[in-house]
Amino acid sequence: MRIACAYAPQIALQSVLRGLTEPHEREAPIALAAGPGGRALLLGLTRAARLAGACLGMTVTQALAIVPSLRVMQARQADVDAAQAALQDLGLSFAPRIEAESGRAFLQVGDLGSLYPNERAVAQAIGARATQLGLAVRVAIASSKGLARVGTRAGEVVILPETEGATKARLAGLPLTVFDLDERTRQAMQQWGITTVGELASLPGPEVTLRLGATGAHFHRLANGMDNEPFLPQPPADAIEEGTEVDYTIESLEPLSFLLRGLLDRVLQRLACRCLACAGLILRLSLSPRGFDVREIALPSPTREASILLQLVRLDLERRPPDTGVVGITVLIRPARIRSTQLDLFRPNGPAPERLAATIARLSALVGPEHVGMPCVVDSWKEEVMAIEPPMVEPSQAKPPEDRSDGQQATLAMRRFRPPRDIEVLIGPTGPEALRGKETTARILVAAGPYRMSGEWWMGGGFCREYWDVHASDGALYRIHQDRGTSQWYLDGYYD
Amino acid sequence: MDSFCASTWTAGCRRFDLDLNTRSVTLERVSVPALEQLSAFLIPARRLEAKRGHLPTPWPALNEMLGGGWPRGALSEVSGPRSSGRTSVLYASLGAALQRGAAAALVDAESALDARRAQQAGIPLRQLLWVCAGQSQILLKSTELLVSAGGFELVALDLGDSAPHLPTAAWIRLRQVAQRQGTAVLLAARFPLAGSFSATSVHLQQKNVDFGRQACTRLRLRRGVDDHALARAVSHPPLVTALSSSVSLERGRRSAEQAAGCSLVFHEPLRESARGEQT
Repeated sequence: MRIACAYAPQIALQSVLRGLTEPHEREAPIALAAGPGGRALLLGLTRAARLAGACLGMTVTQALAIVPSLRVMQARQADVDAAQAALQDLGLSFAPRIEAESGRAFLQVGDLGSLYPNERAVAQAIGARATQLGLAVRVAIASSKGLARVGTRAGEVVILPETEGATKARLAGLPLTVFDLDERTRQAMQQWGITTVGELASLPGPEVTLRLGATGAHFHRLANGMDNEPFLPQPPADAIEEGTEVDYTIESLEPLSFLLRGLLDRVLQRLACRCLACAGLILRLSLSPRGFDVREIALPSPTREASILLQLVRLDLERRPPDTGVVGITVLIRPARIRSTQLDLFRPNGPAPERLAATIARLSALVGPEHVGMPCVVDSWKEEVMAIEPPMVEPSQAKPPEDRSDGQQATLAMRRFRPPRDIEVLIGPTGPEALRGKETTARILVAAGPYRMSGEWWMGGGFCREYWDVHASDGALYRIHQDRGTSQWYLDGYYD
Repeated sequence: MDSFCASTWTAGCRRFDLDLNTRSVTLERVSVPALEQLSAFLIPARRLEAKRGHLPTPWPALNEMLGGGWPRGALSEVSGPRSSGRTSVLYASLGAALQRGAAAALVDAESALDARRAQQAGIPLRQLLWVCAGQSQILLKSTELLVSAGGFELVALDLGDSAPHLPTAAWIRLRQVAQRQGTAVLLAARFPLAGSFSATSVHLQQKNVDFGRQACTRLRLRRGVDDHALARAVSHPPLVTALSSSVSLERGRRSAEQAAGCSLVFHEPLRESARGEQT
């Protein structure tokens, strides 16, 4: 079994760097401090900060005295967790079975031979994918987990041989710092004058075990190219979460969108690693001074387009802005597989589901969600009652085309007034003779009716109406009715 | 450079170069002799439109008048007063497109859609995207959004009785988006509104209205009988049975062979007899 280990050194610092959207920001000297204030110690430094003269263990004040342009940042646990999760996603993009520990991800790569020419190519691909995720990793491939962990301390890309003897020979020249020695073992090695792995391997194993216990025996085995640490795969997380916090209050949509764009890009890159798409999005805004605004953005179709997601979030924020300023954003993505759609050879292609979903969202923001959808007939005794349902964005399975070539059975449409308009009707000896209302005032040339309809009396609040079709002097064919309960006349609509 | 085409024959002083590889179009002035040399490669605008295709309506006579139906990638207009049949034409066109399996949408200014009748007109309601927008600016914006989404064969804009003053830029934008997406945009209004921005404009006028026999029954029994007797006499809907309209082509006539007008008949579907109490 071949195990690859992707190691992200200084993952707390890397989690901070992931949040910087502009590349030039990452090139600047940046230090990670343990806390706020000038007396906080530096825990991590970028290469630019080290070259400028800053060192680990300095206080912030000392470091700023040496490097005035030093940017001091603090890592938040949410950022570190997101970076760790991104490391897991990195592993899942290459293998279905991964194991993660702090700053490291282990994955089985023994079966990637058909995709990559050699193991070095696998390791380089892992490194390249990590760069896309905003992480800088060291990759080692070995026959066991412990040896792969040792390999990540030895260099950027390390391939350890499969056999124990060859591995021992490969590790022999490395310094003992490749082992994560505890203080007692490190002091013992110093007293014995052991500085390389090869020197440790040449010591008799029982004697090392006798003097240093199980820990010493473990390192001795590693030095000899032997390891029996089991590989324990973990299931992937159900949801993908990314978040960020700012030191100021965001009051307007544009800066919020800027941060959201970065978060969504990171989330979607992680989704792409797992060959998944976003099926739902939950946005949690940390409000100033306290409180949260949690909103769920429904997605009719899984998508991996950041622009569409950003557009939907923006529309939701425009429609329902948060009560106060925002100081933190967390995006929680529900992953799903992208559904492949089989297009019909004999039917025209409809709109793409993702674009249609975004269009519907924009229309909803424009006219209101209750005014966009599919009309549907309601099972009611009142003929004007109808409803609107949320639209479908999946390709419809329509029936085959019907032959309507005769063209003689076209249906007469009716335009409804919603709600029906109040009118006054002049009743003559032969029925309605004139009508007057906001919509029209006209004489009635021909009146046909009445057609009495009643119903829903068994539900309470029933109705009883008498319908008339009238041809008015303005040329229109109106449908009017009289409520038998109130004797009020209404204009339902007109045939058109 | 793979081929040349021109948007119209009349633009004799201009040359349109269409590079199919880069999909770029360049426009420059050319002399008339050069245009004659290029004439072998030029395609008349009429043929270009024919190549783009039409969206047929359910009426062969109307199709013949329109040269095949509503032109794709263009703005078409149906106008007419109340009860002229313009809404019936609009719904029937939507139904025809949806029954072909195409995607279609209706932007309704007055929420005047009658779902039962639309279903009877052949509109599969579950495939129709219905947008109720009240203000005129929002109407055009909604239509533009739908057309921009791509994939819709027909987007109908029903303005109803309102005659809003819409800015010229909005029409230009809508026409350009429709042209780019190849979507037929059908506008129904009381008066022609799009003017020269529409490729086809038809006007409907009511010709005749047919009432059912119960109307005559009512008139006969009305004299001297009480209300209950009258109600008993009237038992069978529908009250209006048919409406016929004349259609005239206001804009978009292509050739002398095409008819300038036709007649359409719209029938009232039978109402469900089980519904309601018929006395």
